[in-house]
Amino acid sequence: MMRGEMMQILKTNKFKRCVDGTVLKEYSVDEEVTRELLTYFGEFGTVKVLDNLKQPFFSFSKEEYFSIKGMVGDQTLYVRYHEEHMEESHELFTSMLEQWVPGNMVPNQIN
Amino acid sequence: MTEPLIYLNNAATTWPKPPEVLKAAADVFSSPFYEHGRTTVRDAPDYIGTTRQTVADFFGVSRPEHIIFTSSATDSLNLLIHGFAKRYGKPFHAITTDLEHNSVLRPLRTLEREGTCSLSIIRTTGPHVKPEEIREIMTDDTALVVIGHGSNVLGSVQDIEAIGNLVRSSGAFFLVDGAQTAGQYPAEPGNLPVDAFVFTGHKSLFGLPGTGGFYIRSPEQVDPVRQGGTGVDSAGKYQPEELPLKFETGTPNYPGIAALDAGTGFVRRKGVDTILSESGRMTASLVKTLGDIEGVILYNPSPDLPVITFSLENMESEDIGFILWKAYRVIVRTGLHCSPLVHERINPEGGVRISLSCMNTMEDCERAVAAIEEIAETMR
Repeated sequence: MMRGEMMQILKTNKFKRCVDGTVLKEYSVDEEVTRELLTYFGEFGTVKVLDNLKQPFFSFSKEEYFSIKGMVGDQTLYVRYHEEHMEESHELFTSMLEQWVPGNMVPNQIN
Repeated sequence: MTEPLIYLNNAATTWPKPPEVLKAAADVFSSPFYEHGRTTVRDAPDYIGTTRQTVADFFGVSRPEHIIFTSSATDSLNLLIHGFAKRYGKPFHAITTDLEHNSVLRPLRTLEREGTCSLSIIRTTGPHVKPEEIREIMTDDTALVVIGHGSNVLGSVQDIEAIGNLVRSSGAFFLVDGAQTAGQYPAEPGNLPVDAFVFTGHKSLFGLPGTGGFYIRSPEQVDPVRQGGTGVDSAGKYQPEELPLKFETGTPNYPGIAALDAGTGFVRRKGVDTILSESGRMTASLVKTLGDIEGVILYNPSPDLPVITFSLENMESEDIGFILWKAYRVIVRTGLHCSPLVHERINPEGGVRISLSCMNTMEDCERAVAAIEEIAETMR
């Protein structure tokens, strides 16, 4: 990805409907997950990072809408949507990626 | 360099397979499929007959035609449970336990919902089912008892001899789900008081997914629920009554069955007692070292099989499994393991399951424990 371009989803790899009413999707993106990206995600919900592992693990949660988890340095995001807010959650998730500009920590207006 | 993966999900499907298993399956594909009755070739290998004899010998069954091949243990349980109900022909009482897999629970609950049977599910308090618990809820209408020989969550093995003697003396049909034990725990259903014993090919018998079967002592108590081509008796209007044709219909899974023959042969040569003893040593080491890690909650500290279920304080099981795979290349299984009722007792959110096969090593166990310890440390 060139600096200043939006983050893109290259492929939606898996789709799983869970008994707890959530839907799990796996996205390959065109950029590695960085600390900077996680700080940016923090503008929209709660981010937790587990360091001191062989590869740091992160989770993001926007309560009642969706959660993301993955590994820092990976290009895969595992997203779990709450089915009742599926459409708006997916829209918010993709907006977050599209409006991510490395080096610019202030997100554009996302409702 | 990428680290080698550590596969600890053998209660789901064993991996790796012994080389002779892979060769056996590949060899089948290298020539046209042969089977007496379905080809003009007369001097071809008889994969089905050979494997039936191998499996019968392994299970102490003197009449190999009483070994029936299916596509899985789940398929076998469905054929037997629904076939028993069909033959019985009137409503009955069935008993099972909360340790069972959905392959037992769902067919029984389906019969219950249809009004075909009333169902009692024993709520266990420990890893084992006591025969008295079954005796206490048996009624004059109890016609079917279905028990898992080994739990895929707690790794406990039930005393099917004691339970079988009790159940069969009452006249009820005793069906044992041996999916978790066949190949890694000594049992010869041909010499045990069971009416039917289900096995799967792809776990501890080291065959391929898509294979399974059952031993049936009393075929007259179960009707076939499938009808179709048998390769012989094509003029007959109905499914043949004789075994194994009564329950086997359609073109068999030749590569899978040839692989099952090789896998069963591998287990016989190694010896089930040796397998159990080697896996027991690794399991004991895992229990000890995991138990010493602060924050680890062990749900089965004394398993009979190489199955250990645990969780970590303040962390979802799914995340533990995710990190183990992504950061350490350790493959386990997380969640309810298709056995929801036992988790209601031990941990409704589900756990992390480590399950070994005789292909694992002590080094695999040590690497897995080191990874779990590292994850646990980050949560303190």
